[in-house]
Amino acid sequence: MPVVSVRDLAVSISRGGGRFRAVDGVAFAVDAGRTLALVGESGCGKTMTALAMLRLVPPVARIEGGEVILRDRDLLRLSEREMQDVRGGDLGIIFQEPLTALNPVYTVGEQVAEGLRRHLGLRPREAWSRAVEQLQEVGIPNAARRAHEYPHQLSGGMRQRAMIAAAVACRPALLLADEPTTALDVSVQAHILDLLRRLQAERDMALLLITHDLGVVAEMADEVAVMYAGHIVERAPAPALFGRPAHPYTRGLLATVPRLTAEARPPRLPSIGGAVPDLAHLPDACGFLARCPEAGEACRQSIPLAEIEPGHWARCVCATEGAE
Amino acid sequence: MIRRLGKRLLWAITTLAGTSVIVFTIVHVVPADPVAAYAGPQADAETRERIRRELGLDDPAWQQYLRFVSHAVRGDFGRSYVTQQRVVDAIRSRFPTTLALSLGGLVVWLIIGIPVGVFTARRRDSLADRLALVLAMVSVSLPTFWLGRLLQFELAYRDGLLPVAGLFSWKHIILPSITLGAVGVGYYARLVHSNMVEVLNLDYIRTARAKGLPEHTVLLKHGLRNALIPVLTILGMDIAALLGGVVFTESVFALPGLGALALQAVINLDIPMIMGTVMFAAVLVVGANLLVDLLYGWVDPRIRPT
Repeated sequence: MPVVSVRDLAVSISRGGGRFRAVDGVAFAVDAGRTLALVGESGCGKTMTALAMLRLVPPVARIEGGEVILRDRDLLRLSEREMQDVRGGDLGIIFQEPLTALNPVYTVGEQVAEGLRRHLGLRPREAWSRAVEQLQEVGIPNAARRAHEYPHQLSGGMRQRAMIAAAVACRPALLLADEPTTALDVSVQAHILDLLRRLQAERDMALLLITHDLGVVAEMADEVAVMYAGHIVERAPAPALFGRPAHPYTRGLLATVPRLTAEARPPRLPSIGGAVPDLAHLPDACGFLARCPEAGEACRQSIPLAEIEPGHWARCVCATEGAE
Repeated sequence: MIRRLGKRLLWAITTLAGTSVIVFTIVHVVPADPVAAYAGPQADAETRERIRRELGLDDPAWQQYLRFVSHAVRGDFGRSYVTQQRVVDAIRSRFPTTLALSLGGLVVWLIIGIPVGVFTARRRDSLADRLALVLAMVSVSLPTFWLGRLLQFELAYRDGLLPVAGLFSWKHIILPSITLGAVGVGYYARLVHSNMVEVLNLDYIRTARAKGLPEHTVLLKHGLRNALIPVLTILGMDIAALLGGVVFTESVFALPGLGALALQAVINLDIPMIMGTVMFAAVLVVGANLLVDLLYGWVDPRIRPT
C-alpha cells in the first residue's frame, strides 16, 4: 500500500490568452521508506507536479484533474481548511533555495516551532524545545543557541538543514524535496543527502525527490520517473533505468553526464539537440519528436505510457516495439 | 550598535546645525524690519533705534548667530518680540496639541492605510482593489485646507457631529486628524499594497503556506512584517511632511498648536519665535528619524549588528 499515489494529474498554465498543459497525465506512487526521483530539465513540470500535490500552484496555474491519494485521502478533493492540516503535517516540502525559502525576519527556531504549534497544538515553550531537538536532529550543532539565529546568520548548508527540520518537524508521511541540494556547495550536498536518507530510514518516510542531477538520483532513488514536456516519459526502478534506459530522451540525459576518463583529451560532452518544445503549441504527437534521433512516422500520434518489462514503463513507440 | 548610534547622532547634530544656519540666514535677509514687530506701529525712529541696539540687531550677523547658538544649546531661545513670552514656554504650552494632532494624523495614515494595502494586495486587480486605487489617488491629491473646510462645513457645522474648531476636548482633534491623515492615507495604502504584492510572491510565503499556516498568519505574520520594512523608511522621512501639514491643519481648525505659533511668528517676523519653533520642529524630525532607525533594526534582523 503506497503512502502516496498520484493518478492522471494535470495542471494547466495560462499564458498570453491561451492555456497549455504544464503537467499532463502524471502518475506515480511512492511506498513508505522508499524514494522516487522525478527527473527532467527545467520547465518539464517537475516542480509544478510537487506544487500541485500541495495545492500551492501559482495563480497562473490551475489543477485540471487527477488524484493525489495520500493515506487514503484524495488531496485534490479536500477543502482548503482540510488541506492546511495536510500541508506541513502529513506532507512536508523542502525547497531549492534555503535563503529565500526561509523568512528573513524570524529566527530559525521560530520557523520550525510555528509548524509544531500549528499541527501538534503544542504550547509555545514546548514547541520551542521540540524545535531545538529537531534542529539538533538534522545536525545543527549548538542547536539551542542557533535556534535564536536568523537565516542570514547561517551558512547555506545549515540553512538547508533548518529548512529540512521545519519540513519534517511534524513527522510527515511523505516528504517532497524540490532540488534540495542544487543551491549548495558540492561538499555540503553529500551531507544533506545523507541527512535525508537517515531521516527517511528512521521515520519510514516516503520521499519524492525532484532533481535534474542524475548523480543525486543514482545516489538516492529506488525508482525514477523521467519527465519531459509535462509527461512522464519513462518510469522504472533505478537499476533498470540506468542499466536499460528505454526512452531516447532518458538515453540522451544519461549520455550528458560527464565521466572521468584517463584520456588526455576527454571527448566532447554529448548534448541533446534542439530545445524543449513550446508547450503551448505541442502537436498531437510524441513530445520529444522534434529532438529524437530515432523519430519515425509512428511517432506522429499521442503515445501512451506502456509497460515494456515488469515495473518498467516508457512512452515511446520504439521502446514498445523493441520489447515485443 | 554604539558606533552606529554615534554616527547617527553626529548626523543629527549636523542636520540641526545646517537648519539653524539656513533659517537664520533667511530671517535676516528678508526685506522687512523685525523691530517693527517689537516696537509696534506707533514707535518713532529714535525708539526703534534704541530697541534695535537692545536686541543686538545691529551687531554683525555672525555675532548674532553665535549668540543664538550659545543660548540655544543651553535651551534658551529668548523671548518673543511680540508677546514677550519666553519662546521655550510658548513651545511647551503648544506642543501637546501638535503632538496629539500629529499622532492622530499618523494613526489615520497607518490604521487605515495598512489594512487597505494588505487587503488590496490579497485581492489584486479585483473591483475593490481598483476602487481603492482611485480613492488613493483622490486622497493624495486633496489639498489639506480644502478638505479641512469641507469637513468642517459638512460634518461639524451642518450635521453638528463634531466640534467645528478650537480645542476644548478630544473630540476637537478628530476632524483635524482626519484632514491631516487623509493626504497620507492613500499614499500609505498604495505603498503597503505594492510592498505586499512583492512580498507575497517570495519563496518564504510559499514555505509558510506549505507549513499549513492559515492564510491570515501567512499574510500578517510572514507577509506584512516584511512589507513594512520599506514603509518604515518612508515614514521616517514623512514625519517632516506631517509637520508641514500640521501648520495648515492647525490654522484651518484654529488649534493652538506649534504650527499656528510658527505661522504667527513668521507673519510678525518674530525672530526668536521663528528660530525656536523651526529648531524644535527640526529636532522632532531628526528625533523621529533616529527612532525609525532603531525600530528598523528591531523589525529587520538582517541590519541588526551581530
